[in-house]
Amino acid sequence: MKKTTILDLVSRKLAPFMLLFGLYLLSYGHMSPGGGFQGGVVIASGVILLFVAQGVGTTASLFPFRTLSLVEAAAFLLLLAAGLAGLAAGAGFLGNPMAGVDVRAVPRVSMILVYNVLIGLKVGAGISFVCMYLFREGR
Amino acid sequence: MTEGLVVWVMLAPLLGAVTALLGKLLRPLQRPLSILGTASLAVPAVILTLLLGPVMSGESLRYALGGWPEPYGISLVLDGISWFSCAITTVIAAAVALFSLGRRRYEAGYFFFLLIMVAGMYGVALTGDLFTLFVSFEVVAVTVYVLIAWEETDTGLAASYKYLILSTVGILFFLFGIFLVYRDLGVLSISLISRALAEAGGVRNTRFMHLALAFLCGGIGVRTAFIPFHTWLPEAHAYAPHPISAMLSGAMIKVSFFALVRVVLEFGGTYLFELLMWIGAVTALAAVLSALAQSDVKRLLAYHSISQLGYVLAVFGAGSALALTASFSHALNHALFKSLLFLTVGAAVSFTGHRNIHRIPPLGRTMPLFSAAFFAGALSISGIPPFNGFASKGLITTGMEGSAAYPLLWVTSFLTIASFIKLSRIFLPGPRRAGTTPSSGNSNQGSVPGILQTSVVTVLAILCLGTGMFGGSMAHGLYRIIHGTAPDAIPRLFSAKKLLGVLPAVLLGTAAFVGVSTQWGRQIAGRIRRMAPELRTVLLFFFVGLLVFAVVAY
Amino acid sequence: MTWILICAIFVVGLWGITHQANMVKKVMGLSIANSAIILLFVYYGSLSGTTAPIEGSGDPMVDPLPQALMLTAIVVAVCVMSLALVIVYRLYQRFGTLDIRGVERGAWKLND
Repeated sequence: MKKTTILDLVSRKLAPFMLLFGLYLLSYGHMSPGGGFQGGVVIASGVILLFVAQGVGTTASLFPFRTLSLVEAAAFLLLLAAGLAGLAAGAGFLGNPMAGVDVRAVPRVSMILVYNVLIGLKVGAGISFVCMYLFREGR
Repeated sequence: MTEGLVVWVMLAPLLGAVTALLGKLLRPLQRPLSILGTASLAVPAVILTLLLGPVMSGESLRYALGGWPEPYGISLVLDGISWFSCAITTVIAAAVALFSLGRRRYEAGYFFFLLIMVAGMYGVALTGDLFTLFVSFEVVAVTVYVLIAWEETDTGLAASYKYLILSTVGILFFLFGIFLVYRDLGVLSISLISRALAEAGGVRNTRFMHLALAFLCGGIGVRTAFIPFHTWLPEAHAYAPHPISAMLSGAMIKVSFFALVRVVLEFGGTYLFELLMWIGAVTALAAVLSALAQSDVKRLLAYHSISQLGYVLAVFGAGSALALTASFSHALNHALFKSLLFLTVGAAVSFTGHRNIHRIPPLGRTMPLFSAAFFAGALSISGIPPFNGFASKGLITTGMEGSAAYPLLWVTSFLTIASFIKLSRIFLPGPRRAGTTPSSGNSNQGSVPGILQTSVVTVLAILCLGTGMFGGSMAHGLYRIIHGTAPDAIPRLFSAKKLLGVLPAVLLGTAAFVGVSTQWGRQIAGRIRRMAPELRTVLLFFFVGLLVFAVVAY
Repeated sequence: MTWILICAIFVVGLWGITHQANMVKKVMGLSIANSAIILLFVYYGSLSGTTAPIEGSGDPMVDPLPQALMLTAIVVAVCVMSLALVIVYRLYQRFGTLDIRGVERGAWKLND
């Protein structure tokens, strides 16, 4: 299949913005539409756009399989750790360990932000991984 | 304090799963990290033992995740039914995980999925609201799809696909049921639904709740695999890796069954009992007939899972407090002996590389301990004293006293004996030479079971014997766990009348076996074997079943 | 009217699952039927208000609970669909066909 210049150029220019928008959704999900899963999916769609247009080989040099699976595992681990932090602070599993502390600097943020970012990373890495695996040619 | 422990039941296997996942990424540490992950199953075991006291006195422990209260938050509930469900999961999961550790070919990734599945099953058991029940079901299902196809055989992949389609359709209807509940009652917590329905004057007096109950039952029914929702089970259980078959038959369908029990009881759906009883009895009989016709050893066992689940369901449908105890006790016993059977027969299959009953040479001399364990399992499932099948079948007889469906179960019991006479030829002590050299030409042949596997199987066999010998006191304890009070009277299990009752069953079973072995019997068997349904027929079965439930509910 | 449309989407999904022989189309059917259920929840939730459920706006908000539930259901559906596609891909590599009848004929060795 012949690749056009338009596809090549647009995908390269568009993908960073998609990743950025995904990160925006992650970090503002606690007070506006968005959140972990949505942000993660948008990040993954940026990655998918890249490898649909550029081929899996090129994209895999940017997002190696091993890194993706490591990010996914680490996010899972950290997510459990964040939940356990609530348990340790006496607020119960997945509770807010800062509930008793008066935080002035970042109002209304609490643990939701942490969960959103971790979930977003996990979802983004996971979905990109699955799609790259399916798109891998040959094997 | 004790409430705080409940969440650890679910957390421990999750942490174990993360450990195993790390083991997958850090290659050299694969083995120790898998062992560490498996060891996490000790935590639920200890917690459940600690919490047995409160549960037996009829308390139900609630734990709200994140400290959010009931109508909005997710809460975990540990009462008698969920304690029992968790206990079965723990025992079977520990046995299966240890057995898998004994085979080097299962890597850390396998343990990751296994432990996530266990965590999901704890979720199904412990959840306090319908939506979390849905999510836990899906967690279990996704891992099961992966695990069935784990060895990437053609059949495994196809079975996994079939199960995926059917159970996802089932769970869609389950979601629709949840929608109806949310629309009419505005709550999803099971205890609040129960209260709201009681205020409305029962399920029958509401406009849509009986329909919702029918959809919920249909959705869970696919996981529980009773007729007409059973069609995925023979393939999925037969072509999964052997430890996974044990896990599916032993624990997964039981956990779904307990979810069904909880939903039906809390919704006050006693009018469904009659239907469930007949479905159970028909399931038991039809599945055992199919089982008798099979020549593939694992398919035969899979059909027996359906059949034994029919027993469990039928006696649950009988409705009395004792019947519920009988049903649960048979569920426990079936979990023990069926996982034992799957593990031993699976070992025989991977040792010889054959799946056909008539191709596997008699292995009695090659694997003496496995043969002994197999016979313990086979005697249990046939209901021969003093093994545990006899104990729970005795309870079932009492629980279903005077019911019109009981004759079907009685016929099932001797057909079960017949099919296990057929199966047991693979573990008979054969001629001295045969079976010592595994057949060549098969890539995964000749793996002699190691010491870990042998000890797991032995422990399961001893448990089968133990729960049979002390069947009376087991039933007593079970009654207290479920109902929170001591029973009035548990019937004597080893009375002379019951012991004598086994004799005609054995004779008829032998006669049935002889009948199947004749030319004529073989032809019929072949015809039944070829009736294995395609995916499209399977889906039609599902819709018909759903319709039946909806009509009866209406 | 909307209820009927949602119902139609659901039926289309189920029709796809039962009547298409192509395995990918079956997965599509699942996805469509699942979307119908999701629409059902979200539409029902939206009947009770007019604005998005964000703290601080004065107007009556829509019921946020169905949205939260459906977000979870979407996540679950994504997992199932991606796994289904991986399995279909593997089956295609093995059997060289996407036709479920061909796969089933090849897979079950009932009379071995």
